[in-house]
Amino acid sequence: MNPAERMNPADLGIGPVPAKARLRNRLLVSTVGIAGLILCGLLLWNYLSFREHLTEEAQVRARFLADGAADRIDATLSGLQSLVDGMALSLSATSLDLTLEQMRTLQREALHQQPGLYGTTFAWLPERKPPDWGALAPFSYRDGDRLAYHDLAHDGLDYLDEDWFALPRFLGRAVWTEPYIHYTGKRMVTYSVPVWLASPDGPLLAGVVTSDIELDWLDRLLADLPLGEQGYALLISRNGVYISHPTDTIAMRESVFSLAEARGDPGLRQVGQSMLSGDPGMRPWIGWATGEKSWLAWGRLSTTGWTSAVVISQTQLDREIARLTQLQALAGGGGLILLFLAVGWIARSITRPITALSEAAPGIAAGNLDAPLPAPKGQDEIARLTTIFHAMRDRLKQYIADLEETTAARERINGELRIASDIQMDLVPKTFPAFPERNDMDLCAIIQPAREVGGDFYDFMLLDEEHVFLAIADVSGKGVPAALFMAVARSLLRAEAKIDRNPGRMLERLNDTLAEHNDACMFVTLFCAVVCLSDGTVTYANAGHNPPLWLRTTGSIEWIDSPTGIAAGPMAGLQYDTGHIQLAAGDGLLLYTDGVNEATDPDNQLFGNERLLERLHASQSLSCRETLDALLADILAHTGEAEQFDDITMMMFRRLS
Amino acid sequence: MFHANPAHGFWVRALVLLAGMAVFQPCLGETLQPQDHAAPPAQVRIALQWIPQSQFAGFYLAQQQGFYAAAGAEVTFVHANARRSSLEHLQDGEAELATVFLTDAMVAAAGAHDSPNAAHPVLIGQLVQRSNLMLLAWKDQGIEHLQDLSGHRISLWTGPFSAAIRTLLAERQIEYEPIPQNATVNLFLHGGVAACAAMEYNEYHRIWQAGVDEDRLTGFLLRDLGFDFPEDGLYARSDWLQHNHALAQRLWQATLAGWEYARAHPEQAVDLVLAEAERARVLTNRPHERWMLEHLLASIFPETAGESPTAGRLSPAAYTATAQALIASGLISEALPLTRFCPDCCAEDGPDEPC
Repeated sequence: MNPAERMNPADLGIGPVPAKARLRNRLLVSTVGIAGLILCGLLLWNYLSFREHLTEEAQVRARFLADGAADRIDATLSGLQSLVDGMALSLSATSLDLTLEQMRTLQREALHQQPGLYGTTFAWLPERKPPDWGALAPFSYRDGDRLAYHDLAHDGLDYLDEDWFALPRFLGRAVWTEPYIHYTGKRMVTYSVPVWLASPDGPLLAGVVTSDIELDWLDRLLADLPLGEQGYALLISRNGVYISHPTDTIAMRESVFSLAEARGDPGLRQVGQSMLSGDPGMRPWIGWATGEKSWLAWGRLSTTGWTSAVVISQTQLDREIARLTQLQALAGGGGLILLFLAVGWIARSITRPITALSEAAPGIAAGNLDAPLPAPKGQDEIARLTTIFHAMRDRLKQYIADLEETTAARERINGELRIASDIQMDLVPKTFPAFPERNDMDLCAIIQPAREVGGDFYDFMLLDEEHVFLAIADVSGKGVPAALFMAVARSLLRAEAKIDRNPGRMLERLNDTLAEHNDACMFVTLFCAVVCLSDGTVTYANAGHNPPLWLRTTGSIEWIDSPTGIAAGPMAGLQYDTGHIQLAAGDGLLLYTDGVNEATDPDNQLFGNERLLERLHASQSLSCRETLDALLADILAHTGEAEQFDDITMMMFRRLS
Repeated sequence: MFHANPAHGFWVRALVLLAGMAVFQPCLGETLQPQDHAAPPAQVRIALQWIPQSQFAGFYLAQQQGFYAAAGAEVTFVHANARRSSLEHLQDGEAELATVFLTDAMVAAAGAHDSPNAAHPVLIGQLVQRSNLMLLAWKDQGIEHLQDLSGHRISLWTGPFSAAIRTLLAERQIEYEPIPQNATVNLFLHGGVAACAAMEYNEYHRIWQAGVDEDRLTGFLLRDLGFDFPEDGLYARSDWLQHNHALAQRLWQATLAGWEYARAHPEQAVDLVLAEAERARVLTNRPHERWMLEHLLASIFPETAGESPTAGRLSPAAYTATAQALIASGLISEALPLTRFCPDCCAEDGPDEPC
């Protein structure tokens, strides 16, 4: 195919592949997109399940830490409580039968044994004090590293109004006082136990034994609890007063209820009441300082009846979860980018040959078979497809080369056929009028060859001054064989016509000659006649040819359809009868081949005998040439644009007076 | 709830000073005169009944706002405590002026009844015009009415402070076991007593701030039960007063102005009280001091007082009623005549019987 015949790929409707339709991009988008969605789903699931899990854990931890704090404080206080309970029991059991010095010794011993004890006293109800005691309320306490002593009644009996004395006195049981600020500035609490003396009227209160305990260690204990960044612990007294609170200005000054009042928050008051109810509990909480969602859990101290509480920030947990999720998202995002690059690389390696193929294929489709195709790599489907493309391209090239060769050969043959056709045409006489010197006859013939060389011919010659020989024939088949067979048949007929003027015998001899070495079984239909110009006698014979028409001066037109025989050539020994008719002056004969009456229009409608007869009727006054021209024009009008498959051959003879 | 527009502070102060002068001028027979700036200020100690709290907000403000200085005195405060009362400070000469509960002062003054020259506390001005005393009882111990207290333990402050309660219970013939009440309400909170004495502005709110809702308590306000005795007043010792009458009056006016200022600027007053409390290592909180201030202001400036000249004055009728209660409870046998207890109270109203 020459380059001029190549097409632009765009003319084939093959444009460049849109970016979004590219295999690589689709692969990337779908793989990374799906992986991204899965990642997002996993992150969400992870976040939610983590949050639920950690929320539950936060609650468990809050409860555990609140109880744990209560237990740890109880562990310390219960030791001191037991000490004082033991002292009270001993004093009671011995009916307080001891001297002041012995009491002070007992107190010093207690202080030695219990480092957590700040001071201890035994305060008499004044009326019970034995006369030999020099003090009403001996108090031993720590003063730095040494132990000190003081009679609390030294300045009067005001101690009787103190809670540490009045509460056990009037409640008749051991009491932990409300925590207070000692004059040393330290937070303290006093545990007071009444000491009873037996009497006939029942037990009589003799006095109260106490222990004073510093509480600053509570802050350290609570601060050491693992409560997270925004978490904190607190301790509240039986009256709801904060004993320990992370905010200094709150501890020992505010109670849950004063804060509730200050904030106008009845809910907080209810929470405080729940916390003082004695039952452990937990509830969602909003951190005061931070405004963060939290969990508040509390437990009760079995010794003092105080409440330890912890606040664990849910928001902080959420932040940690969010941070964790962010880290996961970052890692996932990094993974996604790696996946993107990896998939991109893989997709590129997969689609590169496809892309190269798809870029090269339009060139091939457009006819550029020399366009480079990618070399197949590996053994995968793409390599196979590429190999197939290579083979296809090579086969196509081969085919086109063959086609060019075949076409060239056919062109050459066609050229030769055209020459053969020209020779064939040269064989038939084409000069009219054929016998200008004679006025006793009018003769004209036309041969309109088809596109392909055919086998029609006509012939005429003067046998002598009175006899003229007319013949028309149609050789079977087309092309060179038909042309050659026609040439042979014409030459033989001419020779036979000169030997014997009987048309029947002429055809028999011709047939026999043609049948010899006619392996191809070619044949020829042929009509020949000898006209005696002087009297109008016509002898004729017909070898399977279309019956000629006898155009009488009377206006009638007759078919000369007998005698007739079969076409000449296939087999030897055929007989052809000779017919006779008598032409009057002005009568004419029309000899024609089947290219006339079987001429077809684009709708495959035949020209037909009827139309032939009509045309002839209309042309009776015309000369032979005019008649044939009119007839040919009519036939061509009939066929129109339809291809002419057969030669149109006509010869008309008219006997003139 | 008390509301005041701080922007009116100056005018309030000016009006109060003028009103005070109008009220007391006829009694005193002399006017408050601006001090000679050349004269050194008098050194005056005022003993306050208790540790720093809103009960004394007007005094702190009078000092802070320079009212005392304007009155020609350099005032220092002596805070009483459980061991030593303001009255003792006054009587022992440790303070020139003292805030004292009316009944306490009357009991102390009664001793001078038969000794015309004996030094005794003299009322300069009555601050708290109505009674804030109450009995608070546990409903869950079955106390719904006063009579339900029969046979129960009731904690009461010792001394004249609870005289009105004792008189009330005696009048109603309620037999009870009195338990001495100390500075706290913890015995009540522990359920050790069925009822306790309380000041509406203090203990009642302390108990509420311990998480006890009102519906758990039955409260008996003495002023609703016919014992509406005035409470805090400013006193001087009679011998000191003889020589410092004008100064005492100026300080009283300055004190009243301090309370007016507190009425106009309650939050500033609470701030100052909290600062005083912090300095004295007193553990308290803002809502409690606010509550106390509101109730004190309502008692110092009763709604009915409005334009009445009774603000700052002891009503002779109230004095008589209080005296009767003290006599009934056996704390005194006879009250000092009002003319000696509060000479200035009688200067204006001759018709009043006690005068």
